[in-house]
Amino acid sequence: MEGAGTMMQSFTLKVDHLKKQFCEWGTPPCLAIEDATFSVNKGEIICIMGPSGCGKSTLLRMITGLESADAGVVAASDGTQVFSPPMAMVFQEHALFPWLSVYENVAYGLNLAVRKKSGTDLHTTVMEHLALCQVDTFADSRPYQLSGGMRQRAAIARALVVKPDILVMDEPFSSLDPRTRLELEDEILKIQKKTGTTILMVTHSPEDAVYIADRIIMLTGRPARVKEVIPVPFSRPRDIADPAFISLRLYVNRLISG
Amino acid sequence: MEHKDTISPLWGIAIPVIVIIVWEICAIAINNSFILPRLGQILPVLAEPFNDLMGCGSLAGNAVISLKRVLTGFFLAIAVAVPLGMLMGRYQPVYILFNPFFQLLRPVPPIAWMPLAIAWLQIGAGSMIFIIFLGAFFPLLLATIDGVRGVRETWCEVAESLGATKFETFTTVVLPGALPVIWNGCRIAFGIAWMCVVAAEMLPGTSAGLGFLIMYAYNMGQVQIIVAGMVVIGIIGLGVDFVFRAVDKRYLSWRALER
Repeated sequence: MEGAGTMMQSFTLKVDHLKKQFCEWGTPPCLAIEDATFSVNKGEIICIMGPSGCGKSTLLRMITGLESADAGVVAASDGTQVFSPPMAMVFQEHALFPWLSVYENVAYGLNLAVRKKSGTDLHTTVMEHLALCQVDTFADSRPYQLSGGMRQRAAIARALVVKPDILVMDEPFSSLDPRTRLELEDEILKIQKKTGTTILMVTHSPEDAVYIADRIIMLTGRPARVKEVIPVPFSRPRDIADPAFISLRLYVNRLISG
Repeated sequence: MEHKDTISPLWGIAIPVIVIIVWEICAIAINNSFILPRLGQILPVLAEPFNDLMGCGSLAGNAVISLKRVLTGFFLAIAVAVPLGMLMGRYQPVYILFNPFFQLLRPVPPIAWMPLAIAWLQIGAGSMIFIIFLGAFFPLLLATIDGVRGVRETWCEVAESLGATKFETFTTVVLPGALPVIWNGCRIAFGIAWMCVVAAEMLPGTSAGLGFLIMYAYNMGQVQIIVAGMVVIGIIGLGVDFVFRAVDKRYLSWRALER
């Protein structure tokens, strides 16, 4: 399975035999993820897919370090353990801090102690990223004044501002209508092209995945393991009405359902 | 502009005006200033709040004394209840350790502590501040726990994933995220603290404050001073509540607007 896509010389991230059990008082331990092994190359867009409840989000959280793994490692290309600063996360929805303006939300990561004395010009950096994600006109707005799509753009700007090696997204389109989804996907592709950021995202929509991904990591149902790594060979911009696109989408859809 | 089923906020003064008119009519009918003093007796007391009354200081002076006590107890309660409530709301073991203890103490009315407070801290400001502290502490603690539990886990995870330390997550996410609820708790706690100070001042052994002034006026048969003192208590309570609500509306309204 490994290396089904075009292998590059160096990879950014290696996910190696990750395992996760959930233990709760009074119940037998439940194996959520049996073995997740794959690598993510620099600059790649990877979609993680699988039946609902298979542990996609858990896997993502282990990769970013929000949750600990019971076995296995997540390592960067230089062999070090990876922790949150090289990765930044975008969540499903309602993840902007509602008490801050969009500008203050994006500035949040730069105001933290880990980056405080790095000497970068905060205002310029924030404005650059607001412009990159095309939310600069909403800088002074509050999150509740924004549409779902705009909120996600702001959330992406907030994640990118810390210059992560990998942008990790957990179903970032799930609360958006189809038209907004496509717009945001095009936007992400544009941003990715400009910044070269590696993207790792969980989605449940085969169409989203085939539209945006370089490779799709398909997981099995619980306990999850990697079922198949599907390369998406189409050049961009992709045409969702193209027969090859449709047949791959249907193939992915069949894999999810069983 | 006409709204169905709504009336102007100015109607809010209608009932107080009616009560005052009925009061005055009854006062004339009863014609006994030890039971119902006439407006003409009460208003002069209120009109000159800096005049000394019965050698016990002025209305304003006693109000300032009461306010100082209440603010001391109130801020002490904030200093203890908010950090403790944040830890209890966020860390289950802290909650399990402290919750039964506080639930046991909570139903005890603050004034019931007065004998012990006097035994421990002697008659005077110390024991009154202790009572006020107790009155404000529990609503603040409960509101803080509640507020912290309402903070979305996602917000904390965003902070962590951007590299925030546990302490930074606490100060930059949990506290602002819980602040609207904590603020509402402050508002309720201040109301209770204000009631506690007046009640505590009415107990024997005190020598200043609005509660003392009212009790002293009672002993002297000066009912118009009692009523004037009550009006001042009401006005100060109303004023502070207005400030609390104004701050809430201006700075903390995001909670209501966030769906």
